[in-house]
Amino acid sequence: MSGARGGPVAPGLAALQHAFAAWLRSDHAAVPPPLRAVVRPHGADQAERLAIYRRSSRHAQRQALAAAYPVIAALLGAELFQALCEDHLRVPGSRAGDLHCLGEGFCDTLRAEAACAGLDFLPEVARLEWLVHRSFFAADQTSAVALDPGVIAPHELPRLRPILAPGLALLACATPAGRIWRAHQPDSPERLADIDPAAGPEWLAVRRVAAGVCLDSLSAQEFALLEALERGLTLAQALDALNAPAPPLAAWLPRWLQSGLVLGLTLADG
Amino acid sequence: MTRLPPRAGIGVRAAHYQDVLSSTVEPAWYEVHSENFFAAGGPAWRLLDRLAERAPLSLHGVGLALGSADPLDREHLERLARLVEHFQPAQVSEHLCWGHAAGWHSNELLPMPYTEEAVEHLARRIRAVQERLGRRILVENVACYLRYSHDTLSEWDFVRAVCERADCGLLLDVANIHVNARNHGFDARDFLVGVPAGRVAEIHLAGHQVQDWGLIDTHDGPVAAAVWELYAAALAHCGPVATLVEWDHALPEFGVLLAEGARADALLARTGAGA
Repeated sequence: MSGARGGPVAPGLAALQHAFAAWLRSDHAAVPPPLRAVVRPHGADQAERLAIYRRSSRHAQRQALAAAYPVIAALLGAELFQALCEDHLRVPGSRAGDLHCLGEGFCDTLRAEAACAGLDFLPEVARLEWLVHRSFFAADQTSAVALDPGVIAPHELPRLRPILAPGLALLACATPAGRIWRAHQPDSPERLADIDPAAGPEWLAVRRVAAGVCLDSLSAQEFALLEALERGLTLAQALDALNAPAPPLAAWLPRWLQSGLVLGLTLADG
Repeated sequence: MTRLPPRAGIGVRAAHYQDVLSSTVEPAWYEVHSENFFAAGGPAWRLLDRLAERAPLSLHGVGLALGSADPLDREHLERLARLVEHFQPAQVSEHLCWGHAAGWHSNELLPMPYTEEAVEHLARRIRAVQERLGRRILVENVACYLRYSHDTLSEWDFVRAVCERADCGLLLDVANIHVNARNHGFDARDFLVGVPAGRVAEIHLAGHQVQDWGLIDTHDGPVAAAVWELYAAALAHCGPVATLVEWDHALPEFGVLLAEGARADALLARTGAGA
């Protein structure tokens, strides 16, 4: 690429960055002409110097995926995990400057991988790991003030709404993904060898606690009620939405409050 | 501009959280990577609350990609603004680089061309960030392994022009000056002389690796002797400035980091006494 006087033509900032980014994202060793024209030759080192950026970018991104998916990494082994990381970094690739956001949809990368075919628990464990990861980085629950249960008037009961734990995420699994995840946690009594991967289903709640993130196992009915509450329904509306025999709320609510799954009760507007 | 005390700070990395909290060494200030605390609560903010009770904070961002030609990542900026508003740090900094294009993020500090267009683009973006945050930020010169054939400015002229047009501060990475001087064949002292000394509000030092063709800024070892020498020259030019020894990979015992900081403190004290 040269100008009227034989000097280099200055590409616009956007054109330069798009060409550079496209090469970084690709696996091509050869530097394409538009990029070759704007990067100084540096002796014979042009491609090598560009490759420093590709290696550094990929390294940081692989490290971020490994940090978000330690259980999947352990289940797959280093070689296959690295191969799947490369697939994920190609499509969809990183979509944010914050590396903690990298890894959403890794379960879909697993589903598309032939070596994972028939291992239905893998995408579900991956989805669970992503929810654990995001729960850690979720905002605190600060929007509502818990009521003193002793001052709730009878006419306010229809407006009662539980304040759910920060970072709460619900996941229904067809496989024992939760047990598999627990088997990889320090000091867990769960043993991987004891788990039948064809067992299931499981209904899980991920939430943040003081020291990090914890996982609760729920009944199908509990899960359905919490899912309705997570959508913003009041307790009364959620119970109606269940369309099922009255659940044992008198047993569940104290347990949820004690465990921290529910932080307290508040009143919906209106 | 609020300034950090002109002493060595402590770079807080996850592997050292407990060491930092239990250390009996009185901290002058702490630096953390902003993106590690975007959570808006939970364990990360509780840790930062504890640090903020003990010493001033410097929030150092690595992901805003100020120089990207694509639109500014407003979501990223809003998360940074929330963090800044909550903790009111003494300083907020980012890098003079680009990082994303066409929606794809490299998560890497990629080199800007040293051109008038790039100066204007960066200055505009930095002003937008400063407007949103309601404060002046610092921008850091980055390590660079290649140059563009259409550069029209020296790196120091580029850095100075951006700082002046954006009216922002400078986080002077002395190790990066050393690395770039070796990689691109200029005299590091020319860079120092070209730096707008009054805008330098923080200095970074770090270790690098030697390659056949030049140096790579790796943050995985002690600061090299040549960088300490350049640091002394930088202090002579800028006066005593808050300094951080960055060590992000192959982390040593916490005491080793403190010892590197003490070495910077000794040079700072000497500069202060002579000022």
